[in-house]
Amino acid sequence: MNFRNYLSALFILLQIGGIVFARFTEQRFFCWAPYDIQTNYKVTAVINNEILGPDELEQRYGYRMEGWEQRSIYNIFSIIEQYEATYGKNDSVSITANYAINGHEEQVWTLEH
Amino acid sequence: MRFEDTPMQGNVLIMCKLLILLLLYHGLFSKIGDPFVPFVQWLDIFNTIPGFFELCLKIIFIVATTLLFFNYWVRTSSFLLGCVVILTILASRTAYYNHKLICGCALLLAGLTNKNQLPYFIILQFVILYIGASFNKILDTDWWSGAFMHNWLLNARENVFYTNISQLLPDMFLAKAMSYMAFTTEFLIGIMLLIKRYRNFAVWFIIVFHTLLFTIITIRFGHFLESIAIILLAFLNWPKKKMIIDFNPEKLKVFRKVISFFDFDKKIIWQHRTGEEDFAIKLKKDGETVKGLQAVKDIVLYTPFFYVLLFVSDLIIREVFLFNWKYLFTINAILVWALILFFSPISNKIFSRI
Repeated sequence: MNFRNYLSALFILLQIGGIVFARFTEQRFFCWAPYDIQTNYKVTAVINNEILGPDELEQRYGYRMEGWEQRSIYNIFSIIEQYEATYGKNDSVSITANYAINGHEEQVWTLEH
Repeated sequence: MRFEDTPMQGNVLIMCKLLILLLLYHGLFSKIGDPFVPFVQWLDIFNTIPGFFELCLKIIFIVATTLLFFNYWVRTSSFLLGCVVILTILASRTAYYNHKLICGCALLLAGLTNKNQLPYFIILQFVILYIGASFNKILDTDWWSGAFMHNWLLNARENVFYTNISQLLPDMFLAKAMSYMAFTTEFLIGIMLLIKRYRNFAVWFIIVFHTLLFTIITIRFGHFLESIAIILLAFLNWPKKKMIIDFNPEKLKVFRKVISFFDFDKKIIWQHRTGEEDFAIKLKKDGETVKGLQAVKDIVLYTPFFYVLLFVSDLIIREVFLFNWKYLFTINAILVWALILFFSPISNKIFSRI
């Protein structure tokens, strides 16, 4: 096997690792899991005592914050969490997400700091 | 429009160029940006110099695309383009889409292929894709109960097929049946791709499976279907040497003129039929000989311009019927099924008069 083949093999093995790793986390990135979960969700947020509308939320997090999500809802929560832990760490935030996975009972996720 | 005489197999090079065109059409270039909520958090360091990361990636993209399309350093260009796509995704969780990622993976792996070997790792990439997809579903109870399929098709998509047919069947029967078919099919595809004897069958399975999915669900999953179709080009048994076509000068004149015109690589040697054997056209390729309709089909499949034509036609149809989804879907479905019928072994029996 030459260097190119070793690199290709490593790339494939990384993906296998991603598929295995996904079993131990609620997020579904890099594990070839498209359209596995269908979640209806809506995120509302109060940032620095101001209620943000859907467009403002989408602008803040770079992703639509309501509708149907065809991957794990935790993908979206991870975006919010990372944003608020970094770029938004000095803001006062109270975020609520109402979501229902695959038609099951509605659940609530919150984040505050 | 030339795809030979490079360190990459002709079909793999076609795949790379079409993937780049597909990504450009779907706005990849404008989505290359500075890190934003990156998967790899240290990439945020680049935000200390706003625009720097974006500029670097865009320059690499432009240069590599230009080199690729002019057939210079095609493997390096493809590898770099794959890296740019993957880095764009790594730099932002919001940019993560499987239909984009598979393009990046295919481009990167294409850059590591060898002209004298099958692109094994691209084949393996598909194995990972399908087995990964089935594995994720098999371990989800909502796929066994049909809950995902029922919620997706009834509530999220309001799919006409599902809504009407499921009412005629026992509760959740159709949802479960479709779920089981989906993950079983994906698993079987992954396994068959690994076994050389079943690989061609697996390719047909992929084409029919996704076309059926599109026909029933009526969506392309972003540009996932197009990405899969283009990457399947890597699976073609591409001619290693020039193809020799023996032809009857009284038949298929228009076909021969068109193929000749678009043979930019001059890969075809045309010669008049000799001897007593009666056929319209015979193709000799790498020691194999086929004639009649099979020869016509193979000649088309080994003509790079055919794929460019398909790609451009798809874009034109999409643009023309952009605001009439029903027409767009109907035309797409008819065209794809017609192509499947024509290129399948079934058509040899139906149209055996050539």
